[in-house]
Amino acid sequence: MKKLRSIEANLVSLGVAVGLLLAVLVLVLVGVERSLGGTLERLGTSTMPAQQGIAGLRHAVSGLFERQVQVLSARSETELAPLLNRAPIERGLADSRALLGRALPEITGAAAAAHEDAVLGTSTRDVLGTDAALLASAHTRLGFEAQLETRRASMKTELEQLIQEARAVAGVAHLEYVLELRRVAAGASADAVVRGNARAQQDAAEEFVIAVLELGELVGTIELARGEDELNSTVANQLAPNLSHARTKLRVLRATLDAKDAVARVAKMQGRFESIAGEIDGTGDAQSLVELRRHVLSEAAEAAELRATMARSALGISSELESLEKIVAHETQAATRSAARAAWTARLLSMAAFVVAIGVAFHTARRLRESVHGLRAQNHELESLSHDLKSMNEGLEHLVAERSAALVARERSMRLVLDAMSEALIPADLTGRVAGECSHAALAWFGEAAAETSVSRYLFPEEPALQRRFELGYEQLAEDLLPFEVSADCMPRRFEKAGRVFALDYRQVLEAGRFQRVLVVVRDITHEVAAEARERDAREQHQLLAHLLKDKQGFRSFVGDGERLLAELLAEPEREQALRALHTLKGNTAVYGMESVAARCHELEDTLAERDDTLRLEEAKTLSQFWRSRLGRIEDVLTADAGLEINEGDFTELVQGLRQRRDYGHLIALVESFKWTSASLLLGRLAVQAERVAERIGKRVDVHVEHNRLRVMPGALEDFWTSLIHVVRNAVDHGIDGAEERRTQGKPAAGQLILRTSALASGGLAVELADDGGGIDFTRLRTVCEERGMKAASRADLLEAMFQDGVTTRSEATSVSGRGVGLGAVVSACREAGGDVEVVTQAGKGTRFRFVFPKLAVQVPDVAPPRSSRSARRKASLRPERLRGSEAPNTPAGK
Amino acid sequence: MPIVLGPARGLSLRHTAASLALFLLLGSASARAEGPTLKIGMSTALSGPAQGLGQGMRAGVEAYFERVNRGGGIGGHKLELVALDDRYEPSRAGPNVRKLIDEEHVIAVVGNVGTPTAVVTVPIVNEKHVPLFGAFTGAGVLRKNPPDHYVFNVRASYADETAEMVRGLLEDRHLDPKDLGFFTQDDAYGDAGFAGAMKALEAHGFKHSEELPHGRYTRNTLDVEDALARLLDPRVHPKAVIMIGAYKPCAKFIRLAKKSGLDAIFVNVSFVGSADLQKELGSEAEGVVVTQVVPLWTADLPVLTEYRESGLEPGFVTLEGFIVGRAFAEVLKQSAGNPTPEGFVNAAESGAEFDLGLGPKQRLSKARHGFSSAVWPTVIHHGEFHAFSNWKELGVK
Repeated sequence: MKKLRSIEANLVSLGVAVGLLLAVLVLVLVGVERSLGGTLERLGTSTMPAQQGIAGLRHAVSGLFERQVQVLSARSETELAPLLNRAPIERGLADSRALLGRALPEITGAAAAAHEDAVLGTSTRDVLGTDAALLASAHTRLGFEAQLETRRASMKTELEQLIQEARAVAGVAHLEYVLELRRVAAGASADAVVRGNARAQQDAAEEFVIAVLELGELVGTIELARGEDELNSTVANQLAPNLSHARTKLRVLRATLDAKDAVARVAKMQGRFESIAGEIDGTGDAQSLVELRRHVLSEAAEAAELRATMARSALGISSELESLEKIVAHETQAATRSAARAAWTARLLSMAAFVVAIGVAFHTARRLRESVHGLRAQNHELESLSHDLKSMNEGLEHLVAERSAALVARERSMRLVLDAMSEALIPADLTGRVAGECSHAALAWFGEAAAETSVSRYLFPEEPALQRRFELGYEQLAEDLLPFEVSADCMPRRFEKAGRVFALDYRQVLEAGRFQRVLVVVRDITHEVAAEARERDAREQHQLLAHLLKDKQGFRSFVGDGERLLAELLAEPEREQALRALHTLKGNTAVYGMESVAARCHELEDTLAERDDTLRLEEAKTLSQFWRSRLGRIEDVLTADAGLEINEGDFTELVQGLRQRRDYGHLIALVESFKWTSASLLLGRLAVQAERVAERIGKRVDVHVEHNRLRVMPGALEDFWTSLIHVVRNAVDHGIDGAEERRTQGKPAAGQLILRTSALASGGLAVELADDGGGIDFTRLRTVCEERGMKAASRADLLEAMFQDGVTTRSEATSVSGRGVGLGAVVSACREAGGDVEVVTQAGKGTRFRFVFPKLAVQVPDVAPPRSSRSARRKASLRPERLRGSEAPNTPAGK
Repeated sequence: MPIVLGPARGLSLRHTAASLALFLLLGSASARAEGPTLKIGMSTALSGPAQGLGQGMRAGVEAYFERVNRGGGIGGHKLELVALDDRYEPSRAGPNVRKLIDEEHVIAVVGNVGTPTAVVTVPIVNEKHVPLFGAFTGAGVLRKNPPDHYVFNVRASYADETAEMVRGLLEDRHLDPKDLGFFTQDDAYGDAGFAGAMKALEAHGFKHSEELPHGRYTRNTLDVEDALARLLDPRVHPKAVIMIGAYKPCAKFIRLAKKSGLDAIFVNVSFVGSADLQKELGSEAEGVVVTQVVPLWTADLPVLTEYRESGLEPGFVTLEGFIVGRAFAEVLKQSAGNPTPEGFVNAAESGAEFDLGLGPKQRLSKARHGFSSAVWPTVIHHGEFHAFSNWKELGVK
C-alpha cells in the first residue's frame, strides 16, 4: 500500500509540473503576441495604406497617359465620347491622396507630411488641367477634321462635274475642229484650221481639263499636308500657278467660242471653277480647305505641346512618389525586422519550455518505474498462491472429459440412425417383388411390406395407373435388353403420398457377375419441391412486376382482359366460348410470364378436350382464385389512379406547338388526341409479345412496326386487340419456319413480321399483320375440313373454315398455339366490331392478314414521318417512331 | 360478310360528329389554299434619262402577273411586283436590291434594267441566294460560263446582237471590217457591246478592232461631240456605226452626225429603247437600224396574242417585260410545291421544258441559264419599225 501511494504522489507532481509549463508557455505567447500585434498595427494603420496610396497615384497617372494616347489617336467624336468622362481617374487620384494623407503623418511626422501633400496636390492639379486642355484640343481638331472631310467630299463631286463639263466643251471644240478639217479635205483653205478658233478652243479646253485634274491632286496634297510649312509651300508654289493657268485657259476658251450655248456653258464653268477655287483657298474664308487644314495642323501642334507639359508634370509626380516610396519602404522594413525578432524570441522560449518539460517527464518516469518494481514483487507472491489452486482443479477437469466422450459416442450412434432414415432402400427381385429386408425409412414411410408384395403395390397402393406404369417399366428393366440406365429412365421418377413427395431411383445389383436384383431407393423431397415452387412463384411475381413497370397501361389492359375472360368463364358459358376464353387467357398469361396460370389453363383445356363438356363452375372458381392469388400485391399498384400517360414524342410536339404559337385548333386536337390510344402503343405491345413468343420457342424474328402515328378511339376494338395476339402467335409459331428451313429457301435467317396500322382513304382503320413464312397449308386444311365434314369446295370456304374455332392444321397443340381457337377469336372479335378480314397467302412466300374497320374513327397525324423498323433482339421501344406510312394520307389532323 | 354494328352503336354517333369536324376542317383547309401573296422585286430606272426602259419593263411584267393572278395565281399564290427606282445608277441599284431581299423578302428579282446596275446587283443576289431573272441587259456579266447559280436570262446577249450586226453588215452587205465605226457608252454596258462586236469581227478574221474609229460618251450626259469628232476624222470613212448607248445621246449623235454629213448606217442594240429613240429622232429616224431581242408585236406567235390582249401600249420594252413575266411564271409553276428562291432555281434547272410562246420550247440546265438567243433586226421606215432578215435590202442611199 505504501508503494501505491507513492504512484499517486508521482502523478500529482507530474500534474503540477505540466501545469507550470503550460502557464509559462501561455505567458510567453501573450508576450510575443503583444509584440507582433504592435508591429502589425503599425503596418496596418500607416505603412500599408501609404503604399496603397502611392500605388493608387501611380495607377491614376498611368491611366492619364493611356487616356492621352487614346485622345490623340481618336479619329472621330464617337471615339472621343467615352473619354470625356474623367471622373473615375479624378476619384482615383483623390482617394489615393486621402489615403496617403492619413497614413503619412504617422511615418514622416506632421510637418513633412503636410509639405508632401501640398506638392502632390499642385502636381495632380497640373496634370488634370493639362488633360482637360488636351481633350478640348482634340475636340476642336476633330471638329475641323470633320468639316474638312465634308468639304473634300463636296469638292470631289464638284471637281468631277467640272471635269465632265470641260471634257464636253473640249468635245464640242474637237467636233468643230474636225468639221473644219473635213472642209479642208473637201477643198477649203487650210488657214482656218491652222490659225482658226476651233484649234485654239480645243487646245484651251483640253489644257483646262488637265489643270482641273491637277487641281484634284492638289486638293489631296493639301488635305494630307503634314505641317504648316508644307501647306504654305503647296499653296504658294503649286495651287496659285495652277489656278491662274486654269483661269487663263478658261478666258481663252470663252474668247474664242462662237456658239451661244457654248459660251453660256463656259461662263457657268467659270463660275463653278471660281467657287471651287474659293472653297480651296478663299481669302478670309475660315471654312476654306486650306484654312481648315491649317486649323487641324495648329491643333495638332498644340496637342503635342500639351502632351509634353503633361509628361513633365507626370514626371514630377513620379519622382515625388518615388521618394515617398523609399521612406515607406524603410518603415516597412523596420516593422518587418521587429516582427521577425518577436517571432524568434517566441521560438527560443518555446524550445526552452520544451527542454524543461522533457526533464520533468524524465524525472517522473524514473519515479514511476520504481513504483512498478514494487508492484511486480507483490505479483510474484500472488502467482505462487494461484499455482496451488490450479493443481487442485486438475482432478475435476479429468472427470468432465470422460463424460463428454460418452456423450459424443451416443450422438454418433444417433446420427447413424438418422442417416438411415433419409433414404428408404427396398430390394426387389426380377419379378418386381420386395425381396429381403427394407430399410428403416421404408418401414417408417410405407409400413411393413407383406410377403410376396410387388414393389409397386407396396409404394403406391392407391394409384393403379402409376402401378401399371411401374410394372411395365420394370418388365423392360428386368429383361435386361437395353442398358440398365436407359430402362431405368422410363420408370416413374416421382410420386406423392400422404402429402409428401418422394423421388424414386433404381440401382442394379449384381450377384456373382449376374443381374439378380434391383435396389429401389426412395427419397423424401417434399421440402425441395416446396422450395422450388416458392422460387418459381417469386420469379413469376417478379416478372409480372417487371411488365407492370415497363408498360403500365399495357399491363393494366392485360389484367383487365384477364378479369373479363374469367368473368366470362364464371358465367357458365357454352363449351366453344369457354374454350375460346380459356385459350385467350392462356395466351395472354403466357406472354406476360404468368406460366402457372397458363399451365392451369392448358390443363383445363386438356380436361375439356377429353370430357366433351363445358367448364364446371367450381373449375372456373378455382382458376379465378388462382389468378387472384397470382396477381397478389400487384393489384394495389394497378388499382391506383389510371391517369393519362403521354409519351415523350407527343409531349415534345405539344411543347413545340405552344412555342411556335401554332394554331389553337391544332393544339386542342393534339391534346384531345392524348386520350386516344396510339397505334404505336398497341402495335408495340404486340411486337413485344411476338418477340417474347419467338424467344420462348427459340426462333429469330424481326418485327417491323408501322403505326403511321395513328390513334384509335379509346375503348374501341378492345376485344380485337386482345385476341389479335393469337394471330401474332400463329404467325411466329407456325407461320414462320425454323432458321434451317428458311436458309434453304433463301430467306433471311430471322423471320420478318410486319405489324401495320393505316388509315383507309375513305376513313376508318386497317390493321395488317404479315409474315414471310410458308403460307397457309391449304392441302392440310382441306383434309382437316373434310375430316370434320365442313364445306371445302373453294379457298374462300377453307379460309372461312379456318376462322372457325377448333380447326387447325396442327396435329399437336403446344402451349404457344395450335388448338385452332385463336384465329376464330380474332375474326369474331373483328366482325363484332363491324370489321372484316382479308387473307392473302402464298405458299412459301408468307401470309398477310388485313383487318378492316371502315366505320372506326381514327386520328391521322398531319405530318407523315419516315419509316422505321426494329429487330426482335432489341428491347421494344414504345415511343412513337416517326414514320411515313405507305397509305397514310397527307391531310391535316381530323377525326 | 355482313357488318354488325353491335358494340359500335355509341361509336357511330361520335363518328358522325367526327366526320362533321373533319368536313369543317377540310373546308377551312381548302379556303386556306389561297396561299400568301408571293413578292417579286424589281430595281429599275423609273426616273432619269433611261426611265422609258424601266417603266416599260415594269408595265410588261406587271401585265403578265395580272394575267396570272386573274387565272387564280400559281399554286394558289398571287404574284405581286415590288418595283424600286434606281435612276439607272449603280449606287442606287445595290441598296435597292438589298432592301428588296432583306425587307420585302422577295423570292426573286425580275426585269432589272441596265448593265452597270447588274454589275453591282449580281454579287448581291449571289450572296443572298435569290435569283436575278430576266434583266433588261445583254451584257456578259450576267452570262458567265458556267452561269452564276442565281442569274437567269430571258433575252439574247449583246454578243448575240452585235454578232448579228457584224454578220449582216459584213456578209449580207459586203462591207469591209474597216468600214465600221463605234459609238459606245463609256461604262460596262458600252464595253460589253464593243467586246461582243470585237469577238464577232475576230470570228470574221479581223483582229484590229481597237484601231477602228471609236467614240465614247459619259453615261447620263449628252456630251457626244467628242465621240462624233472621232468618227468624223477625215482620215476615216465609216459606212456603218455600231452604237451601244442610251436613246437620248444616241439620238443626239445620229442627228449631229447626219447634220455633219456622216453617211453611214446607224445600228443600235435593243437596249437603246427603240420607241424612245424613234420618238426622239422624229423624221431623222428614217433608216436607223435597231436589233431586237423580241419579235415585232405584229408577228404571229402565241405570246404576242396574249400581249395584244393585255391592252399594253405596243412596244419592244413592254413586250420584253411581258415575255420575262411569262418566263418567270412558267418556271414558278414548275416549282409550285416550293415557291422559294432555291425551289425556283431547282425548278429552272430541272430540265423541264418551258414554253415562252416564242416558237420552240426552251430547256435550261446547270450549264444553261439563258432562254433565248434570237435576234430580230428592225429598221425605222416612215416612223415605224419594220422587221427584215437580209441586211442587203436596207434602203440606204
